[in-house]
Amino acid sequence: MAFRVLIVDDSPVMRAFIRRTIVLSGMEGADFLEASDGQEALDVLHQHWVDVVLTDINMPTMDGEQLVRRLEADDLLKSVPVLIVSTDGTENRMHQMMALGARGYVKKPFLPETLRVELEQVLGDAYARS
Amino acid sequence: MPGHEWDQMLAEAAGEVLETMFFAGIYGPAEPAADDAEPRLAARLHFEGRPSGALTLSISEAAARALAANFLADEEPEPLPAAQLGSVVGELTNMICGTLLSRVRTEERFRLSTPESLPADWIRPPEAPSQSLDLGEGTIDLWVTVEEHAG
Amino acid sequence: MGDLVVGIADCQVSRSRQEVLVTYALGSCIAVAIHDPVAGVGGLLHFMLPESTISPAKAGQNPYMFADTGIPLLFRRAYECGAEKRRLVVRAAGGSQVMDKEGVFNIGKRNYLALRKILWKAGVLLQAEEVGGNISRTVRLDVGSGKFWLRGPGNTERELTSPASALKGAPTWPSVS
Repeated sequence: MAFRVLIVDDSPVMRAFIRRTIVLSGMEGADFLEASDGQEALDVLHQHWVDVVLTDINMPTMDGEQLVRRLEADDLLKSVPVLIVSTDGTENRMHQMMALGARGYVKKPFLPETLRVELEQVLGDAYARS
Repeated sequence: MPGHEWDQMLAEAAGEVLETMFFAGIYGPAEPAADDAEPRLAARLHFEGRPSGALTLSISEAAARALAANFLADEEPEPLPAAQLGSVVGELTNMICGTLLSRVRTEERFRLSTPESLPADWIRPPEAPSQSLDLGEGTIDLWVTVEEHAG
Repeated sequence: MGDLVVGIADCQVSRSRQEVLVTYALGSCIAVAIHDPVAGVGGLLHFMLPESTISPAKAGQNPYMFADTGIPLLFRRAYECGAEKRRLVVRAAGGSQVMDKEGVFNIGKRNYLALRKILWKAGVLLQAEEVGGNISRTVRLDVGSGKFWLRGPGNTERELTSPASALKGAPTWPSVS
């Protein structure tokens, strides 16, 4: 079964940028699923197993903070690693999201290489834990 | 209107976003665009926090297309569909706003609205842009406004 | 072990494991080093300017002068020697603001942005980089080991390694901008 990535961001072009970065990081065989807000992401996650979630924070309907809280509260979904990709680069927010259960954080704007390294770190940690 | 600190940080934020994800640089300051000089695209988003306000961006269409081609790694000869181009301009506005707010208010939390594309006949604000920047292929005008609260 | 010198606006590609590609005095210029560890192919480009549109005639005479003509040619030559894109380790160094400390958008930075744009469009990520600042750099690529070495004026030589993704902690990219 192919490695599956869920990208959550209300901007379709940002989702495309993130997807390209992940493909170029050596994961060209991965399956990509997309959602434009936290609620859509939850709908996807209730239907498909996903190996990692990358999510923005500022999104309509349900934001990234709410999404992470909901995932942590779900016995099945709390093991899915989450990497935050957000314009909010404040220390405050980073600590908050990591404390809520996110495993990584990349501030926008980002070099593709930065996302690659952070993703590898998140996945490495996930493998170490399992 | 926010002060000089915001305007300066705005130029820095725009530069950081343009260089990091659009592989474009700012050549220097520019003259604010005249109304019907050339086709331009515009977007606006609102932010809520301390303070609340809005960021409006106007960009030469030629510059927007170049930035979009860079961002999307697009080498197609056909022009990008309007919706995708609008989405790129919106994301540019979003990232400049987020980067600006992280710099001017490092401990505050803000909510950013989804950027909206402004129609071709949108009315430019009467005041001069907070920043006008030369991108080589065109210019960007940026207006940042904050709501002053009494007390 | 032989040093194969890459001059300014020059490029060398080698399949000889004994060879070391070296280029000197990178100021605002940028060196792009590529290496395929399986095919044992290494290439080094030293380019000066971002875009050949400034002077198509010069680009015709020497495509290595410009990022947009030199970088694709570097890769193509490596493929001709048996390298494969997905195995390539790519590093870059240079892009200093040596002559123009006031410069807001100087040649060093423009070269760096051109490099990033071209690599992103070509579908290649950088493994490591050291760009910017205001020093002149010398770099070496060991074709046998794939190791990439940097030296600034008066400094000792040090290896530019990839961010160690297996290790915990923030990536420590020696990027100066």
